[in-house]
Amino acid sequence: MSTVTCRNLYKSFENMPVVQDVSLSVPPGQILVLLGPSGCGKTTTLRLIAGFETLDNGRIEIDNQLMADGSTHVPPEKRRVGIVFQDYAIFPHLSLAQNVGFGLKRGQAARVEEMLNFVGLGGLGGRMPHQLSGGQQQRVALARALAPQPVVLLLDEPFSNLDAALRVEMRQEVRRLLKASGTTAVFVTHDQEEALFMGDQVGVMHAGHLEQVGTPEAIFHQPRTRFVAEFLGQTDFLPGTVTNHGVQTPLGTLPQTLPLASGTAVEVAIRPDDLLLTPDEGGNGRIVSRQFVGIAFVYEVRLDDGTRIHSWQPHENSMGEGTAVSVQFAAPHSLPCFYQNHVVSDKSR
Amino acid sequence: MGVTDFGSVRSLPRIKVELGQTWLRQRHWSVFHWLLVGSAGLVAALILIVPIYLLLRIGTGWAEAWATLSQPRTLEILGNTLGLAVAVTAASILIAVPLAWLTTSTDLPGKRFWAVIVALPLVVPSYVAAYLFASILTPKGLLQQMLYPIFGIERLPNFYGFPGAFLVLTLVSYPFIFLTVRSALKKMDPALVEAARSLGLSPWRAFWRVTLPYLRPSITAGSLLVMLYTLRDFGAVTMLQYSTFTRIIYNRYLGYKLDMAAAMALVLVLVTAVILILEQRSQGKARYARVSIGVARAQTPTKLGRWRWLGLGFTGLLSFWALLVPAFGLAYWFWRGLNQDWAVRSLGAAQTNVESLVSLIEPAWNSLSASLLGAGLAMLLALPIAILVVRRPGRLSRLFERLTYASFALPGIVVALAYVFFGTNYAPSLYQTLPMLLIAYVILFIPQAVGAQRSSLLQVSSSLEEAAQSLGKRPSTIFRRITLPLVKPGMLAGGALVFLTCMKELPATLILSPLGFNTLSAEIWSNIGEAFFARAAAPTLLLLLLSSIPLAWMTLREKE
Repeated sequence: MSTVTCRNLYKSFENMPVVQDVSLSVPPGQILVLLGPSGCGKTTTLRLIAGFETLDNGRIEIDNQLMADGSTHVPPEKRRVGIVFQDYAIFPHLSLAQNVGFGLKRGQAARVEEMLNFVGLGGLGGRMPHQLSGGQQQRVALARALAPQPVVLLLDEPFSNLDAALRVEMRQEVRRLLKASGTTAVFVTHDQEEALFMGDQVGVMHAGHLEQVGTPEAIFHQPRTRFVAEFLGQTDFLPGTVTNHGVQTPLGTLPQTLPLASGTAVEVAIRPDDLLLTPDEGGNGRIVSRQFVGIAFVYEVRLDDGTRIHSWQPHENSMGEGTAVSVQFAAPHSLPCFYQNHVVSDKSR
Repeated sequence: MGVTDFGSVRSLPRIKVELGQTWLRQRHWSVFHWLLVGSAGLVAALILIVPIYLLLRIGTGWAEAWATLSQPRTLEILGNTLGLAVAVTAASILIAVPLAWLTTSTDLPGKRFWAVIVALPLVVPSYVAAYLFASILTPKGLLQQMLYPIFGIERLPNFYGFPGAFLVLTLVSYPFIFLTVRSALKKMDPALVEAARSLGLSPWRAFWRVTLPYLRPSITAGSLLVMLYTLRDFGAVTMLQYSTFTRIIYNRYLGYKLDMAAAMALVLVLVTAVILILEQRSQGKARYARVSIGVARAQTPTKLGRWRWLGLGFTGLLSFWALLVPAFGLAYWFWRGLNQDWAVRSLGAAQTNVESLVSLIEPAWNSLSASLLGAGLAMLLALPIAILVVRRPGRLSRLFERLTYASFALPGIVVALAYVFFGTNYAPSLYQTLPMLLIAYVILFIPQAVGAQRSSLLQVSSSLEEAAQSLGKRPSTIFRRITLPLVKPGMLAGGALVFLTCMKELPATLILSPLGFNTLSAEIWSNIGEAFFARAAAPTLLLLLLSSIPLAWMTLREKE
């Protein structure tokens, strides 16, 4: 049972494919985040669900009712979706109460006040939009979209116009409000931190394709494609070769058994927290640069074979640029290995 | 001021949408969509009637028409017309660009005041400026009469013909360039010049290498308007006896040589169309969007230093010629009229001042009602086109947009002539009725009206309409509750401008007005035709006052 089901969506603009074979489903009360770089098709997917764009092919169901396929198109006003836009789209000529009440039948002042209270703007219904701060406009947009009790709420990069501190505050607030109201939501963002925080499920999109859908943890720790690994976290790729004992890399052999023929070239994804650096004159790398990021140092290390990798180290291990170091694997988990851009599962686990 | 909206119709975005996709989208559009298309189609038909009936008219006598056109006289008229258009445009650029820069980007003393003053000639009809300047500058005019007692000057150089037409049209049309360039300068990101300065350019070189290239599209847009204004102008060239196409067409029309008039009209339309097409071609990629994100900072005005006296001198001299001289002429003739008891000796009839003023009430009322209806109708019919162009791009919308733009190439005299043919042959019940005059106004002012509507629609983010749609509202409801309230200020400003242009309009009003329907413009025209300048002064004053009221009201409201 899902609230939103999309099957094999296709959409192109002027023969440029924008969304290709995207399938997803959102269970009731869950938040699905579509994450990807700009131009990956995430906003178009959202607009297909909302009905602002017509499908080329595929099928969209909301609440088990057909909304769109190759020949049907239910217009946006009949879909019972709420939407929060990047620019909020607050009607500038209407008061807050009139904005929030816009999608309601007449005489529902109580519901308007309830929604304003819900988003923490109780008693401000008479204000005009230009008297509000960015965060307050955000709340009005949310209250307005939720007031008619939509089956699903769509949010299109809703925090991208807020400054960093407010963005963090608002995403906590919005997630709390969505959970408190039991709203099913699809949320679009290019910010991975935001995606991992907001989503019950995260779908990573790339060049029109949905590359992987899963819990934030799964997406982060078990990327299924090289793109997902690269897009989440600061990921470096080490060249590796499959041997009988594991995967041979410039940092030694990883004890992981891959279902590939011996001698196959693979790439091993490593993140800065997967490595240990120790000063060592005879080590296999040299520190190229050091960046202070507050809670740690990030070192960029050039390995003997020319590969550059990044590593986080706590402050007590401060090393200067040019220091020779030995680099070792220090991950408590197996590292994802990619063959032809797709992950190869580790059979030893 | 919304005046710059004149220019924006030319830069409509060209969005390519495939036909298949367009149909797919349109299938889901409601009755409301087809209402828009129907209304736009009506306007298109009204516009197309003009070239079609000119062709039909000539259709019977191509040989004769060709005989007329192949005479060397035609080439001379073509030369006169194009020569005047080019000269007026060049002079207007030279006047308007420095003025725009001085009143926007410098510390010129009183620059806000000057900005209003130098834009004012826009409200003066060309035939009014023509007779006021003529009454002063002709060889035996007011200036000669003032100079004679002091310097004994018997005669001033000739004013009729090219010199007069050139001076008058330049002084009434340079504000088009002034306003488009000024609005571009206001929107310019000061960081552009600052970046140029930081890269080692002096202020002077930064102006030439950054500011001027940035202004090029707006100069081109304004120049096109000036050129079209000159090509379309009927009043000044006829009054000053300079033989351009419009004057000849009118004379042929008065002489009942309608075939020749139609042939000439067709040539004029072709000339204007060629200029429009050339301009479109040259436009190329010369549209500069502001790439930088965020709100533009206020500009730091360039310090003029000692040059400010030169700036003040230039601005003052121009205001003197463009505004003070005609104002003096108007005041003089008005005063003469009041004192002389407008005795028309040749007719043997004398009217008292009071009677003459009372006799203006009816033309004033006629002018007001025709212009209000005309402007209202033009704005009403322009809105569907603007909505289609801005919100529903596709082949059909693009066609409407092109056609609207093409009607720029139809001078008032040509539209009037075509509708005379159409009316007498196919719609005698409409001929010489108010509705037909209003149709002519719509055709003449639709590009201007669409331009104004379009720029105010572009101010309304489409996500506002989408938000309303996702909240369950139908397109017509969204239009009424969201779109209309938001575009209303822009619409009113645009409407005020179209109203002003309707009030000034002369050739179509002269030819298509119902019998006995005397307007202020026609009243002025008939008086100056017989050189009764004193009798033309009162209706002129009334026309200027009435036509500027909505614009003044809009400007005041904007400030609040």
